[in-house]
Amino acid sequence: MLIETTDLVFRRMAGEKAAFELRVPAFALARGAALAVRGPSGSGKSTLLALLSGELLPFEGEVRARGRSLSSMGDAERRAYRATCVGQVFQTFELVASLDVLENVLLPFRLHGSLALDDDARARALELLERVDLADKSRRSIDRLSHGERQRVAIARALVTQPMIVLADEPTGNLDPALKRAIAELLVLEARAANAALVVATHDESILGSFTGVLDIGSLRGGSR
Amino acid sequence: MIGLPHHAVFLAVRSLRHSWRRSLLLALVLGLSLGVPLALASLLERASTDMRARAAVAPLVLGAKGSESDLVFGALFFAATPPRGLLMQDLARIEGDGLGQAVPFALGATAQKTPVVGTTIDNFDRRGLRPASGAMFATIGECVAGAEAARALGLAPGSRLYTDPASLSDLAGVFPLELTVTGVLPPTGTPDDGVLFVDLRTMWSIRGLGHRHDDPGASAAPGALIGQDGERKIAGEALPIERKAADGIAADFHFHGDPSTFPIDAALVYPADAKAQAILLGRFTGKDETLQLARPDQFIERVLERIFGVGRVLGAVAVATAALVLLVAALAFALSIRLRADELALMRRLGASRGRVAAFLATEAAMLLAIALAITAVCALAAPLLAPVVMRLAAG
Repeated sequence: MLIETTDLVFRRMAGEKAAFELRVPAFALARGAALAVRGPSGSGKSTLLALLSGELLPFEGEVRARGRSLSSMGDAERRAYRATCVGQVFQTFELVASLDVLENVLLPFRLHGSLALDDDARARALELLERVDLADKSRRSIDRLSHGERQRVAIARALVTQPMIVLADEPTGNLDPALKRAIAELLVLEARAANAALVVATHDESILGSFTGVLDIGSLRGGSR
Repeated sequence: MIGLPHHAVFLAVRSLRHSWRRSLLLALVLGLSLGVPLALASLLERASTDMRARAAVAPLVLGAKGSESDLVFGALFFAATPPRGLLMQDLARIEGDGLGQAVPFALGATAQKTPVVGTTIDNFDRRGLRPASGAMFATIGECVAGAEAARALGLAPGSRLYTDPASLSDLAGVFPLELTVTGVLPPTGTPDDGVLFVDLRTMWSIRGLGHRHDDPGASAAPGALIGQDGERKIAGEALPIERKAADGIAADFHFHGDPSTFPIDAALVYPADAKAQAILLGRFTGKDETLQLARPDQFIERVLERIFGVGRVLGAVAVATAALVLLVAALAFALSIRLRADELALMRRLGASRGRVAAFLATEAAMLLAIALAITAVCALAAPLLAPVVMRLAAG
């Protein structure tokens, strides 16, 4: 398994009390898996993605990537894991306005020393832009792209480092209804083509059909202790 | 960590380029706020050096009584008109008993808006100044161009140009005199570079004191020839006055009146020794004295004292302003970082360490500062070029 979790508990504390508690039952992801994490706003979908990326650590339980617990890693190792093993797509695209399309796709290579920005990386970026139908706009400014195009750039950026897991947080949240399903299907298709596991946090019922599994955490939200 | 600086520079350049108006404005404000005090100091330093060096050309300056400033700035910098009233015969009061040498100057004319300065060969002998090309003027109508004047007007030995009418009202009276350039002086970095030097007789001719007449027999003007006595032609009043001096006809020029009574504007005085200087200074201090003998070095020091007094105030204001601007610029940069909080958070989420994000921001700030310092350097280096302007302003 690429990713395995035990039962996870995460709390956001306010002083001595937990203002928020998330409980997620154990699950595992294999290559090519496409899991939708469903739940209403504030249910902890984004928190679960942050636990899977190593950005947050669980209070109880653990996330294991290729058998290695993220909790046992130091900060630098977890950063390296996030840079090299995790691809991320965000609701608001999170592209850098000063960079053009291709430069945005290649951004992860400029942020972590373990990723080499070489000819292979450039070729992979161009190939991904081709696959998301943006090859002819590779030198275009981000400001001149539609929302759908921006999210396709973000998908290409998430896959360019050949991650083992792609985490997408409400990737269709800012898109027109007509585009939502297309982007969701593109995400699933490209993650599968890259042989990566995909976890998408969404509260959008219309795109759930694109995924191989659904994890509903809406009913798992804990109250304050 | 291979390539970290390269990527930081890349991202910084992209960021600065993306918001180039803000970046340029910030760099300009920073650069100018640092550059203006430096430029001011540099400018005053250069102007004072130039003015002191020029004041050292002659120990004393003789002129008519009146504005000492006009006399010194006119005689040494050709930037003012000295008080009128000095005559050639007044030089005898310097040279008559061997107390020193006086080198006369006559000013006030221009050719293509370039000052024409009448003097004698002694002026050049005193300074060991010889033309870099061509030869020194020898007769009426010949001139030697300063290096900058020659460059600006495109003059070389053999070039010709006309002097300008003294004023529009003189158009019907004093016509322009044609000058022939016989030589071009080497650059000296002094006011000599920007003028045309002529012989005193040429200057008097420009002022209408000397002239030649057309050949009465050859003139087409009716009434130019009113009679003939053997080979001697008798010219009428209608004979035109010829304003050309070139082509070997300079010798035909003549002057009406006693040249010792002809006007000059100033004379650089070189006393024989310190005692002679003291005697000469005492000679021109009488209550009814119509002339003055100025000490350029002392006068220039008084002028510089005033300029530096103003400069010190301006400098203090500029330094305070620069400090304020630096503070505001730092705040503006800090604000711009806050506005880009999402972008920086993204970098962290994609795996960048705090150190790498800080390096990226530091690189951007360093590049902005480098542009600002380049602007500062341009200000400081260009400022001395304005030294002649300071000198003209000082001359009033």
